[in-house]
Amino acid sequence: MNDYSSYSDEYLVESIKSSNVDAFKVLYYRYYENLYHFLCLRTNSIETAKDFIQEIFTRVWQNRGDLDKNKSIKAYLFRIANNLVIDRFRKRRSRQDFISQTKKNVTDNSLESITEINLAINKLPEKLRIIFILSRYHGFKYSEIAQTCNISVKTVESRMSQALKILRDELS
Amino acid sequence: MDESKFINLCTKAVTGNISHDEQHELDFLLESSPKNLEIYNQLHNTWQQTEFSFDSPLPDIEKEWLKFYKKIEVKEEKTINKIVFSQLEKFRAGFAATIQPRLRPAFIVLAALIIFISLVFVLKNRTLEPEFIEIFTVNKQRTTYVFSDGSKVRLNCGSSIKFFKTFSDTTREVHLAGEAFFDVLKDKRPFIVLTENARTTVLGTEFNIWARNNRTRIMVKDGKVRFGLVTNATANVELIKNQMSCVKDDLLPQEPKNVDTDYLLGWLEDKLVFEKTTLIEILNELERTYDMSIELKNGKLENETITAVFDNSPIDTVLSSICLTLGINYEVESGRYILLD
Repeated sequence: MNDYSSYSDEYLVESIKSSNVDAFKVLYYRYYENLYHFLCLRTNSIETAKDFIQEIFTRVWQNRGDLDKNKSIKAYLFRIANNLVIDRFRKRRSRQDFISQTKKNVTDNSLESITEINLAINKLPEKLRIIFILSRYHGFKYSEIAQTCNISVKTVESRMSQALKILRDELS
Repeated sequence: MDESKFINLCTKAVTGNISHDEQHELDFLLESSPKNLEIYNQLHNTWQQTEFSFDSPLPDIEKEWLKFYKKIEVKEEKTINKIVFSQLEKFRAGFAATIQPRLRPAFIVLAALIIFISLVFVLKNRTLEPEFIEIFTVNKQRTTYVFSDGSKVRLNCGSSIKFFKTFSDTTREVHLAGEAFFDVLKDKRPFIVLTENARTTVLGTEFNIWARNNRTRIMVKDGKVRFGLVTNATANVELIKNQMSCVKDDLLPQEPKNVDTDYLLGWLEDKLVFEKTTLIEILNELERTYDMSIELKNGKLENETITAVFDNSPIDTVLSSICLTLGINYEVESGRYILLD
């Protein structure tokens, strides 16, 4: 097996396009932790996070022919992740359910890291929350968030400051 | 500057998205008003406050990867399974029409066996890139396959071809063991058939190759073909319509001679055509065609040659007339045919 671990995302994408499983494994390892934390935070469930990650990579593998090395693979992975979360929300009918679910999970201690801060973040409107999480916990630049959410950088700017303002009022 | 613009700027600063020029602008605004500084500090604190460490344990990524890998592997297998199965379906449908009803149950068992063997074979040789395909027939089975370029191949009993599902940009290469008739579509890439010892190169034509026991025989039905050794690229002969040639081991190819290919390629119409064929070769062909075991008691007869045509006749008729020609008898012993002295 070639050692692809030092290769750039762009190079990995090119290799994956030609069905290179070794390159795909490197991508899997490279983004697993990041996606895992993102999904734990968004779904408050370790099991769901794990399932979603498998689903994300399955979709990427199935559509590997359509990958574009000029577009951020990181943004693509998180976009699928976010879409999965949103779909899950829709199935739960309302966000209120989701928040109460979050509270329930906290008392269940199923995810110990859920805190007051987490609840505040989960209370943010959906559009703001995703942006805040990507910026705060995943080190995404505005331009990367724009790609992930398919919105303009200007929109990212305004939503990010709205989110920070709301959290300031909530946490003070 | 209005407040929302100012907060945008502060947010950019605390999230690390501020440009050099914007930082200058912000510094100036913060110095010019204590209220601005207060807002900035609040936002900065909020940012700090939301610091959050993921203490939930990370799953075993290797285990997760293996789970995932198995899943995609299964998916790829399924597609291969479909290819094999659709081939079988075609062949079964074609055969069901001609096969006698009493033989059908035996045939179903055979088909199941073929699926199993094909799968084991295909999976063993399977790589994810690029897809490598092996099509083969067992005794009594013939099949037709259409390549990705539209060229067709008809495989005789007990034969196999191997090739990449998608041909390369420069050649179309197929490996053959056994007998097959190729109908190759014209294309700028040469179509190459490799056997144990021979290489056949064509651009677009119809021809038959028989390759067993280090002997390869070619018959050209139409067009032009270059035929030579795998080991020696310069020793070629060129054949045109209704010509045949052969190579044995690594010896130079035989000079092309004129033949009646329509007559000799009787197997394409389920006939058995033997033209001065040695007895041993005939018996091997009968074993493959009828899926029978035939034993020759007197080894000296192996190289006797026979000329005969059998049009879809039962095995007993075929063996009777062969024995009549040779002046010998045969008997059947627990499913085995034995040619006596």
